[in-house]
Amino acid sequence: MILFSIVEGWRNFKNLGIVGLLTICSLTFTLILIGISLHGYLIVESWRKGLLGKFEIEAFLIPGADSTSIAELAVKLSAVKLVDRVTYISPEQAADRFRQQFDIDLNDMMGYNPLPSSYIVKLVKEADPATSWQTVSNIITTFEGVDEVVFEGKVLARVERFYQKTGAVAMVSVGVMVVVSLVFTTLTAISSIKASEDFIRLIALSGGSRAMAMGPFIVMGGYYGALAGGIAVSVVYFMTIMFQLGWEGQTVVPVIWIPFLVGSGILIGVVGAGWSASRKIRMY
Amino acid sequence: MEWQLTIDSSMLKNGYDSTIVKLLNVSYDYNSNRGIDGISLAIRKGEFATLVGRTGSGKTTLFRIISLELFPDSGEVMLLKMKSSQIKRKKLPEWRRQLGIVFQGLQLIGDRSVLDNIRLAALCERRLSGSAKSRSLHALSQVGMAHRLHDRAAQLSTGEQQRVAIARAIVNEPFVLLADEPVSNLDAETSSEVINILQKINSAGTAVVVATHQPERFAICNPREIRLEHGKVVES
Repeated sequence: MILFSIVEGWRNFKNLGIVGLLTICSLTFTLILIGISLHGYLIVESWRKGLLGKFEIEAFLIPGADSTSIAELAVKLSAVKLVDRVTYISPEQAADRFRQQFDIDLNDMMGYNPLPSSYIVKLVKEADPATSWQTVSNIITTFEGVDEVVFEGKVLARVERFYQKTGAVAMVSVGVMVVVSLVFTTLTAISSIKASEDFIRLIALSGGSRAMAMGPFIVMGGYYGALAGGIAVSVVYFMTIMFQLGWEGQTVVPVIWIPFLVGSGILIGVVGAGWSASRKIRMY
Repeated sequence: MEWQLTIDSSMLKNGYDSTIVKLLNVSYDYNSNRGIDGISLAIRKGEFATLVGRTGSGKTTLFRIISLELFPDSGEVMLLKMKSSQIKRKKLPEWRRQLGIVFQGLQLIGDRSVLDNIRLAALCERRLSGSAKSRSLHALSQVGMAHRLHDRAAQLSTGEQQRVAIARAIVNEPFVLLADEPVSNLDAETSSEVINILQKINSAGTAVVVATHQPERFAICNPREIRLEHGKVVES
């Protein structure tokens, strides 16, 4: 019966004109959108990870803190949840960093080094930029010996908002297009079923099973999905090459996307056509 | 109206002479129009019957009910050991495999070859010996169409299409062949060829029921005549 469905499904696939073409177009567009959205998401994700790796919390210490309290503070900081590592910056090192960053030597300019010692605190990758950074910062502020805590909270929050907004827009767009494609596939299958009423009646009244009558239409949906998936993979591939859309370590479409996009197309096609077949084939 | 069918299909295949199809007080309405009205009749193995009546008398409806393409509003259809009131959806194919149907409009798939048309029906029955193709070829040779097997169905004459439709109906070796107006569009010569084929099928043991408004053409088969008027059997 599988062979029967494959052969008859192919026949249905070949026989449909303008409606079939529209289905392939909508499915292809959906899959391109899925591919580009995923690709874009992965680029943003890679960019976000790189950016988060550069953020740090700086805890300035009260001037004149002794070495024992500085060491004790290091232990307390390391024990805070989500803290990955802490690095002590002496006033001399702080002056060096300032000189490297702004090309100004504070000792020469002011005659002394006004910068206090500090701890640079890095959080683990899993820390949520929207909440964890502020929480850890608040905890560190309460520690004895800490004068002031500084981190780029607003920038961090903005990065996170952009990341979440991008993800949401991509998800909604993909969801809408999947629904549109399902509608097109459903209409195509209905049109094919109507055009094949003699075939269905023949199968039904000759004693063929319902699965035998439905199979060719479901497989037809699969063919549409496979073709659309193949086109979509090629389009996404060329778009990433043309616009150099890649991220660190991944400059072109990953190979896994070929089965992913083709598989998604087949799934949409089969679900749409299967739904139509189950609703419209009424000889049982 | 108590009625019990106690034979099974193997007994019938071996020549057990009994009722294959039985209708008990069957009625069916198309919306507000009565299709058939309280029909009771039996079709026995090896029988040749004509269902005679004017257009709209219920002949096609009766065939559609026997094949359970339509379910009766009331009454019971029995086929071998199966009852329409108890049949489950997944058992419908088994019911229909016992019947061969020649549709009034033939319903051949015009853009496919003659062989493909028959093979589609043959693929529905997997319990018979021989491949679908070999059974299709055998059925085609029975109706004298083996020489046109690769031609498209649409290229055939009406008489040839009728023969192909008969071959398709008998490819699964049914107990009963239901032929809906098989000679209505044929000239006298072609018509007698088709009737001859139906007669041969009948003499091989298959019950044949022909719906027709030209019963005189089937007189040669000495059929049992079932006359329908306004959805009722008026003579049997």
